[in-house]
Amino acid sequence: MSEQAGPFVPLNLSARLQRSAAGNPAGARLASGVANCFPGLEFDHRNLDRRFFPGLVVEFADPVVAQPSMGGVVTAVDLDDPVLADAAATHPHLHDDLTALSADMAADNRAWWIGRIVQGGVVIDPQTIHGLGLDSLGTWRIVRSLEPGAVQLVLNRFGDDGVAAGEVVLDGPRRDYLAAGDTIDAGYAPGELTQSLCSPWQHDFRDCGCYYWASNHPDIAIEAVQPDEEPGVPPPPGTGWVNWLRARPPRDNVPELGYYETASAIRTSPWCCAIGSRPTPTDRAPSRRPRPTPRPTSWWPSSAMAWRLSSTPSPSSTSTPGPRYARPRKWPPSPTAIWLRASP
Amino acid sequence: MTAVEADRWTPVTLGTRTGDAPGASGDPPWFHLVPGRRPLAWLVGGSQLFEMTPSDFDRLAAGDEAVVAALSDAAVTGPAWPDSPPEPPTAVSLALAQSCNLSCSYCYADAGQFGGPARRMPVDVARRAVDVLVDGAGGRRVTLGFIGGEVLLHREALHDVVAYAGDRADAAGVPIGFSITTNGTLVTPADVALFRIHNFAVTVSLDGDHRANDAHRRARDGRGSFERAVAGVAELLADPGRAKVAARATVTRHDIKVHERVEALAAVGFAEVGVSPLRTGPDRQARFAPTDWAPFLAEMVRAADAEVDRVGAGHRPRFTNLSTGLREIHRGSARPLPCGSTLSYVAVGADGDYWTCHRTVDNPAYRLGDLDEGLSATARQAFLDRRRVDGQEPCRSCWARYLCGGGCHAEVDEVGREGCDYIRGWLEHCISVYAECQATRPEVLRSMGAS
Repeated sequence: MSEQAGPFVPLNLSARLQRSAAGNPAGARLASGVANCFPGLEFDHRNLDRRFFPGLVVEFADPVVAQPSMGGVVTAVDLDDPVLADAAATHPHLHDDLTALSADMAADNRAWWIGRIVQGGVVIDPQTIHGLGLDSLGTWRIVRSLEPGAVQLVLNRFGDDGVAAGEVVLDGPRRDYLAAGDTIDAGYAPGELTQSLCSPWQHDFRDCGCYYWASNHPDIAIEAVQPDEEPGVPPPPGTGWVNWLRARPPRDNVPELGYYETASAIRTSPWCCAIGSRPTPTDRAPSRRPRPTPRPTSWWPSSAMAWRLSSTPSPSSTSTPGPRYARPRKWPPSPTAIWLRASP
Repeated sequence: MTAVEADRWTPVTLGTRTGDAPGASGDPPWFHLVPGRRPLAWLVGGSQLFEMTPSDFDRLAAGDEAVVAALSDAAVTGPAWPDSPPEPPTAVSLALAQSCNLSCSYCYADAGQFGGPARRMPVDVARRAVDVLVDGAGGRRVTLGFIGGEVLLHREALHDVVAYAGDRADAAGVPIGFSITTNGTLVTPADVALFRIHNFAVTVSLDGDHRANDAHRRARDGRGSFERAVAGVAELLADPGRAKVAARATVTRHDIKVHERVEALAAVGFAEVGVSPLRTGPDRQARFAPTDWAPFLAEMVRAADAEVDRVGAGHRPRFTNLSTGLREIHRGSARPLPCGSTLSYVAVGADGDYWTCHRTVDNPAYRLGDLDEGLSATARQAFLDRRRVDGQEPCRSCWARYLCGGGCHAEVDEVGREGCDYIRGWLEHCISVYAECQATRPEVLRSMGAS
């Protein structure tokens, strides 16, 4: 078999013009990204960690699916995860355990939540930490702190009365995230890492609330040359900087919404992914199991989220109407906080 | 192909698309390997330069199909040949004076007279040529050149035509540039002012130092021209204003040194110096013979290496043969013709006839019409079709065909293509210098406008 040829390094301009690089440009790679956290610049870090445990998909980013009061929720078991096959040598039972979990989830819609996380003798239970429990972002913070290597994950399921109704113990490796060459490993589907980013073309950036912008998604553009534009009238045609979607008279051809209107419209507009029904990319493998749509649970942990309720229902009362959330807290309060290590 | 044996450059021409030896299948070579510390492949069609591993280089040289296929992924076809008649030219040279005050032994124009009586172009003829040039510009930038003979023998016409052309171009909204080739001996302060004001590109024919120049460039009375030429251009060199002044040296087989000529002309004050070997002309003893090309290549390489060292040390580039070559390689120029002759450039003789270029004035084989009947589209097309590199051998089988373009029409028709190996060797050297400088001395390329 012939040895592979190349690379041929293009030196002059005409050679460089013809070069077609394979894969994403270097700026799209993790190693060169200026990655931040909420909701991230080149990608949303929370989407990276949703596959922190090979074979599991855990939702941290979606405030409805993950339910901020509940911690991380398992939304799917992905038995086609390529890293799962790699882990078979060190964790021979993992595939069977996940297969059983997948069958259980197909038969019973009650969600599995991340319970204890064990690594290197350190045990953290996001649901009882500090006596309050952590929300999905808090749980994600713990997951972020995991180091490469073996990790034990205990999943919990709860009955309608809020009492634990099942437990699954999984032993596996923490995902390495990167394949050779600093590329994100093949376990992630196209679009999965950026699916929760604010995007100008989805019109949702006005409700971003995070005051920064993806570096490759400019919200400033050069205005178009109008057919009836008079040359010489300052600014010269096609050179004026305009805030995208914020056209001003006399070229007010796009209505400028007020903040309230925008914030309201974003929930219902067809061009914005409806929160809670955002599809998970599924174009990687035909056998991929569709993500189950979590069912709102009537279970309500008494101590964990009382401070988030806009009213104060009786935690144990089954007659309490569906929980009404305050606006999700921005988490973490600063980018550096995410790097704090969890301590026993 | 006979390789030029010159130091580290061993031309290797390999490969066709079918992997056969060049010529065996009729397919022209589409890549060329340049050995050296940085193994290189030149892809002929698009003038693309790639560096590769020594292993891949060896496999390409051996015809390994996998490597050839991988390289072919980047290859593009050669420059397209237009199927429509050529547009009106954007450059015209006027032989204002078909005569000269010098009588250089090697002059292709035979003391400026092109084999006929000494003549001057009437001003009205020159003006009509300007009218045609400007009217045919269609908004494109045009260049009006003056080449003789010695143009300054007809100074009044020069000044008149430049003023007229400037006004005419301004009125038509056509950008215009001017160029002149002179022996420098007759330049006056008024001429200097003209060159400065109108941004002239001034080429001064000087062959080197006093001895090298006066060996061939003499007045009709036998006196050398060096001192008069240097004195004539001194004011212009000291303060060129907006003019761009360069020296062009003709190299004869009696003295093939290049570096020394460049040094001597730089010492005179020229910021740019180019050299050209003598291939034609009445002095057969001075013309290059087949055995002269290899040592001349070595001389060119020596001058180029000295230039790289100079520029690398922070000095301004001055050896234009090298800087032009590097810029063309950097851009990846690919052309089916050697120059703009007949396509974008024509010459007008003293009598108002059109010729393919300034070198073919008064040669009936190169006539393209006159100012009365206009440029003949048929004659232009026929001339160009016969000379495109893809339509003639040995150019069609040469890897350097789109860099070289086939060589000067006038020279090739007169003496053939004896210098092809030299041209290939020089291009190979420039390619090697480009690759090496890009890796280790990028400041050299930046300074030469090749990065």
